[in-house]
Amino acid sequence: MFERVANLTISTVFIGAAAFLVYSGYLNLFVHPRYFLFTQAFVYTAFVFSLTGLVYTLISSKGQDYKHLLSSFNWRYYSFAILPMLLVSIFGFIHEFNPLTSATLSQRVAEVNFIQGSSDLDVFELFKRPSEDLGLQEWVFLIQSQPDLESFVGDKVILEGFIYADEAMLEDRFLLSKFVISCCTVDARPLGLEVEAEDWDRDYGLDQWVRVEGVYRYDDESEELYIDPINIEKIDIPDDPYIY
Amino acid sequence: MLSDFLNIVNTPEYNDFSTLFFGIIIEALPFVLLGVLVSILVGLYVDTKVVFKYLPKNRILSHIILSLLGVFMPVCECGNVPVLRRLLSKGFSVSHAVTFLLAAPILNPITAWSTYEAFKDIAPEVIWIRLLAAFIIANLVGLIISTFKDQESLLTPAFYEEVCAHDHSHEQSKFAQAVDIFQTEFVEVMKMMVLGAFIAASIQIFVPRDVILEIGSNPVLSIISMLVLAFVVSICANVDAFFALSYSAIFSIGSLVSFLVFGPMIDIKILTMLKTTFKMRFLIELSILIAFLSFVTGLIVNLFI
Repeated sequence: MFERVANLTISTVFIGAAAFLVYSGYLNLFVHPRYFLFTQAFVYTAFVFSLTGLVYTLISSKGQDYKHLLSSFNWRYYSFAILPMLLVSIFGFIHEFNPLTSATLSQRVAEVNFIQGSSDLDVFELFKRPSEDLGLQEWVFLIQSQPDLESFVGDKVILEGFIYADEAMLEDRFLLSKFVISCCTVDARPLGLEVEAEDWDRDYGLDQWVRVEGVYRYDDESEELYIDPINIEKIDIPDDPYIY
Repeated sequence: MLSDFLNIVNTPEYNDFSTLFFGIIIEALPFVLLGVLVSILVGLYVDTKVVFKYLPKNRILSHIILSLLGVFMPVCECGNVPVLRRLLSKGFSVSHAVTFLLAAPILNPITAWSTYEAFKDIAPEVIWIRLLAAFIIANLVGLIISTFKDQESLLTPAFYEEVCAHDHSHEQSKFAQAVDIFQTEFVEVMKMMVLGAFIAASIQIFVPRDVILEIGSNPVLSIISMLVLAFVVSICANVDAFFALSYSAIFSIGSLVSFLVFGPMIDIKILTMLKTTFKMRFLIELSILIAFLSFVTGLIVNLFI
């Protein structure tokens, strides 16, 4: 009986913490929007069920010899189960979550702009749209589908993302980056376009979210496109920090 | 001391670890709950006598039927662990339950559809190869286990005790029974899920992917590389095809097939969850066997298809 109460208490607290995260609007930091309804439905229902089950068990155990139940409780076994779940629950209630940053990108830098075939974007449709209306994923897709990179030179872009840079990149360059998510943060794949701005690190740090307005230039040496910024503006982390 | 703690908390590594860790838990939680719900329904309403009456006596046929149950239960692998435990509690053999566990995440309509959507343009053969390979591997592994004389010895003593206790179901209301199943299954599975998510998130932060991906172009090493990746990332079977697709530019199709077959069957997250039910030695042997069969599948694809 005591085990049952302990299990139901930790289940209620754990699912309660998840329900709190869902209610607080953190879901988009963790999972693709297609899972929102599914997650909300199950988490809220399970919370109500677990709480009802706990109350029901407490009521039906009224009059039992608690001292005896307590003495037969396997504390060591249950602390292994309950302590980690309790810590995670408390963490879920108090922690302020933020989207993935340069720490994950640096581990996945070998995968930057791996979007071959994974997008439903239509090249011809994208070419028809004004260049400054296109987002980061659309530009990466367009650039990968066009062998003649110099044809983009002079095109105007307005893009948002966070700043990433590492030692392998040219000096005065940073990667304007975002993550694409298919399911949850585990499968996040980085996308990015290089921006060339002298001494950018004087004004902006890694992971700073910025809006960059600029035009494409072509680097003959590296045979790559980069953005020559007209204006770089610091922005807050957007409500939807990932591309889905 | 406090400043040291704050220094860690303010690092991008800590931020990303917490986001990845909770990402894994939040993504898996509804699937686990769905699995617990199915487990409750099986526990309350499935009459084992009737099931065994209609289950073919032929060993191969009965395993085939179990391997196709996922068609009616399109849940990813985390959700299938509570169902596996319930099947065992209801008297199914380890070989039948494991066959279900291995096949169901792949042989279900959602996974088949997502694989189709991901690969229809660049390598449509991946779709049927994945389904066929999962069907063969799940049944083969199940049949191998079915040759064990004492299958109960593969279970942990704690779970075996639980299985025996279920045989003496007392006269409770349906609601009380449902609460009972819920509290046992949820805590048993989630406590290991938390551990699995912790390990998976740590590896994602501290092990650079290029260490795994560097050998991606070699036809044999690329398969091993993708098997390791599948084991480490612990991604949900319903969407892993989109993840695999992003590697199609540099990895062989065979290695992608290996990833898509092995990942839903064995990964860090699942292994920690299965630790609640099976002995570690059995889980290691099972993992090695499935890794080997997935490797052979990938190699056949690379060499002959």
